[in-house]
Amino acid sequence: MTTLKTPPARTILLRGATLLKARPGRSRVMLVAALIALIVEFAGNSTGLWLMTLAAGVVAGAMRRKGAISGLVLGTVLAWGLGILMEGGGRTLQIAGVVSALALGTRGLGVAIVILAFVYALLLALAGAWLGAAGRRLLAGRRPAESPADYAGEAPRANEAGEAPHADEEEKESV
Amino acid sequence: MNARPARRPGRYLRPLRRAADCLGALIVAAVVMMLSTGGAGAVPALGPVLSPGTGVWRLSPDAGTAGSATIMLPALDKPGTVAFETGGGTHITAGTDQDLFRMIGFVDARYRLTQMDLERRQALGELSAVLGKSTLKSDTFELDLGLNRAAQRDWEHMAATDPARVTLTSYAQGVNAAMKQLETGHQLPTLFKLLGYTPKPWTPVDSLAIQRLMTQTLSFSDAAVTWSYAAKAIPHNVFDAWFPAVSANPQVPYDQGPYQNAPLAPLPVRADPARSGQGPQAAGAALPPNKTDLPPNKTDPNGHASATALGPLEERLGALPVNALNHFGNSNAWVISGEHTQSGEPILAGDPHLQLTLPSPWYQMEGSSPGYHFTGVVLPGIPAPLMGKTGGFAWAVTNSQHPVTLFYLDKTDPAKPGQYFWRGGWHRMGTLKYQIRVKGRGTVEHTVRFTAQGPVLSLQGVTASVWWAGTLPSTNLDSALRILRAQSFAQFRDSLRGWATPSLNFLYAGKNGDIGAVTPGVAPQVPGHEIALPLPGDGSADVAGTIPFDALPTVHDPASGYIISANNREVTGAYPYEYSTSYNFADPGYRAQEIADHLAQPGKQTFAQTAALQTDVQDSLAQDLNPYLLKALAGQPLTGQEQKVAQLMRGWNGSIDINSPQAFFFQKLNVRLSYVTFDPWWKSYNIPKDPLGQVAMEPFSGTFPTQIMYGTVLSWIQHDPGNPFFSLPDGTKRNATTVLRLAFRETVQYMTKKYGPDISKWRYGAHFDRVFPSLLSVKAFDAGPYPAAGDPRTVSSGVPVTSVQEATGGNALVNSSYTTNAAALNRLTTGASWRFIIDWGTGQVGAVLPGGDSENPISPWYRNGIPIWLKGGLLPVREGATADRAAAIRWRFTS
Repeated sequence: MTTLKTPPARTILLRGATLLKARPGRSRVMLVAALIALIVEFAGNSTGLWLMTLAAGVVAGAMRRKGAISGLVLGTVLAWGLGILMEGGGRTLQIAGVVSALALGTRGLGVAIVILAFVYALLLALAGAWLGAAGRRLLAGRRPAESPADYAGEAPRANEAGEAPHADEEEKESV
Repeated sequence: MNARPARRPGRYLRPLRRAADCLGALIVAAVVMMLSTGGAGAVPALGPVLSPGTGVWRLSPDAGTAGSATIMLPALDKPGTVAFETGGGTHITAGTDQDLFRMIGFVDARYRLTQMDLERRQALGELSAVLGKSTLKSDTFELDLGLNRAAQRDWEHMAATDPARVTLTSYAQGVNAAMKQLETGHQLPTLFKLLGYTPKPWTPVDSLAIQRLMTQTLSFSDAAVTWSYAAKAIPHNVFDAWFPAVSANPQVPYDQGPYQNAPLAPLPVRADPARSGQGPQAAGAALPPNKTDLPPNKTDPNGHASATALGPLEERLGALPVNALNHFGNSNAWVISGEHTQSGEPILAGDPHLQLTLPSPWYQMEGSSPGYHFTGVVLPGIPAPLMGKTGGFAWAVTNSQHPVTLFYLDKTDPAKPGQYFWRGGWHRMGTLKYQIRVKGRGTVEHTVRFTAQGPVLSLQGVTASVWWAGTLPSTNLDSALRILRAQSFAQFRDSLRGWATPSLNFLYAGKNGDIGAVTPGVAPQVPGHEIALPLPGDGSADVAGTIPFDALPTVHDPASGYIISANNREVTGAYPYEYSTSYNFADPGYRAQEIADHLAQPGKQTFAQTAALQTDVQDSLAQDLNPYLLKALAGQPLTGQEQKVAQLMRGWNGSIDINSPQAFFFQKLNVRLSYVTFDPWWKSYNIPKDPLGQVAMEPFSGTFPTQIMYGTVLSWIQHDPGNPFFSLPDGTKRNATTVLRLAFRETVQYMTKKYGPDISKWRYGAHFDRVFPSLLSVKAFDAGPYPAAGDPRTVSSGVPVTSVQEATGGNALVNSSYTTNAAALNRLTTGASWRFIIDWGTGQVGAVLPGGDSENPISPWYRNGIPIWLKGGLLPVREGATADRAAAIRWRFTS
């Protein structure tokens, strides 16, 4: 008979910290970013602070991690989708229909209103991300030389030609 | 030796790229922020609108999700409850009288906040601040008219202990408590979120302004302007023959005399500056004049305007929202004494006709407190019911349509700009300046000008000012509160002594068996002048006073055993005062006649018969005219199609049914009959067509004058078949028979060509339909169209008061008026805004609103009354313990 051993809390914390300290892979970064974006944006929306979506984008953009932007997009869609569903429930499309009628003169474009909400949320997040990334690049450009510190714990990887990746090249993956 | 890495070719461009990168990011972020916080053009601020927590996704709590709850209402004296039946029937039980009005305010705001806010803004001239320039015409007109000034004056003149003042304050507390809860919970109705504003706190002045707006809807009439075109062109004796003071069809005045001929009473103006020639007679104080750049007047040297000079004024009035003017009257109310009912006690029926908007103009509720108990309908924004029942009596109202809107044509002189001639001298117009906020456009300055008669409404073509009773001081709320405590008809009538405007017919049925009616309200008198037409503004036609209250129409326990009011003239031609005429603006009286015919039938009346009569579509004019038509066709050579139609009309009972081809044919025939009779004369007198086309002869669509001419023609056919106006102006002899034949033949030809030869397809309901338009004129929120039955002469009637905006999808509060569009004329948008019947003998009470309690389009209570209303059904009115047992939702209020 096997017994399921629950690791002590301290062990769990240590493992978590190790995971964060370790060089995370792209998908892990994406998941962490998505989780953070989800929590921050959902909390922000719930309290009327919809600007938190933009703020989350700024943070994600400022990070130099592959997967951060994908995580931001995923988190944003989840945060807004969950929020809309929690508020509107089964009547979400009906509500969207009312908005569509008032704004566009027809109730039939409710789905378009829902899509608009998501597009708007992503616009907020990605505008923030570009802002964050641009700020990061600006700051990086003022430094005398590129240093490993710029990569915030992630060692620069060699490109196919064996050269260290240039900051600009890596940014292209982020934003 | 270390080799230096080769310099990258783009190295020097990098700072530029970074700057561009930053700039791009900043620009995009700024655009997104702008869209998020301020919107762009018609696009609202997207952040607060689309955000899940605060935006449109959060339902206002009335959208079918309302459940039982405990609600804090801080101003409450004692706990209370509001119980809702499954279909939304509302029952309020309060611990104190003032708590009752607080809870009414709370319920009104929870279910009708958009309606209340937009209506107060309309009344106060503040719509443009939230809707933009499209409502500017409405705002400037309302500021001219002065509902805001009247409401403010009323409030300032209420003593601190005045029950009306205390009640208004309590009501405002309830409204504001609900608004605060909605705002705190981000649950304001969707429109506020889309328009990006939060409604300002409710004040008692807002309630008074809404009261004045309904007064305007019921009593501000442009009939005098409209009729002036014909009146100026036609000789006086001809005008009287065509448009008699009392309509030619049989009349059923509820007060048949004898009448008092008492001296005129002074107007209820606390300080009547016009009497001393100091300034405006209308509400509000005028500032010293400071404008001297007025355009020159287009009057003739005698100060008389030509007919066409009134065009700009009519155009201005025609551009106003539907509810800014009274265009029609189709309310019914009648009471039957116990001697004529099967139950042995009185029956009262009432169905006030208004524009059938969604949400309804009314909110039905039961209110209970230590000092009050009623079931009735309130106007959201006003704390007390206008119709309903107490424990001891029931009452209903109809509009008394005698002229209270007097248009004055002022004499001005280009050499004396900003002045008008009055009582032998030149006087400067008073002025008031307003800064109107217009969304997206800053502010617009508007100057209100006054003559001694009132605000100037037109400076183009002719200077015209208006004396309108609707802004006179009136104790409406005080009267309404006193009515609720009346114990007899005498007390009921006495409660209405201070009721100056709007003039309404109040019909009363007591549990103790007495019935009565009274028509309170100012009825201005201008001796020696025709008040139904524009008057000279030189002081020769000033209002001399009003009919004293005790000489106004009234009746108590009449010998006939019943009282009928259907907007028809309340008195006979022997009434010794200036009163309504057939053309300004009483109803011709067909509906009253139809009701009287039913009540005069042998047998005792029951609740069911009364309900059937409320939905009756029998057209008495059709019933009377059809036999003459058939007689005129007898023995005549007819074409095959004419024979088919004649056969169709034989045996028709005059019912304007949905499935009746006869009803549709008759509508066209009736119009054509007037056209065939009058059009040659109309042309010979060169009667000008007014800008809105209201005064016109149209071959197959009825216009304003033809409504009266139908009765005139029928009367001539019945009693004067050789009337000279059947003949042509060139001397060609014709009589009633030849005119009937001609109209018949031309109508058959027209119908066959337009609707096809298959007469079974000429069904009335296939060509006339009914729509319940949304208050916002958002077509997606309308209900209908449904096939229609009835016409303006049937008890269950409908009038095509269709706004231009409805056709174009605009906003009902924006710029709308009558239209002569043929398709729109077949769309009925008015009708019984509430049907109510009580039989005091059986205790049976029924009522229905064509809509529901909620203004939210996705609420199950938005339009749930319509199917019942369309079938002519009534919902049981429950009270007390019965209502409590039927309650599905309860709100418990604590302080």
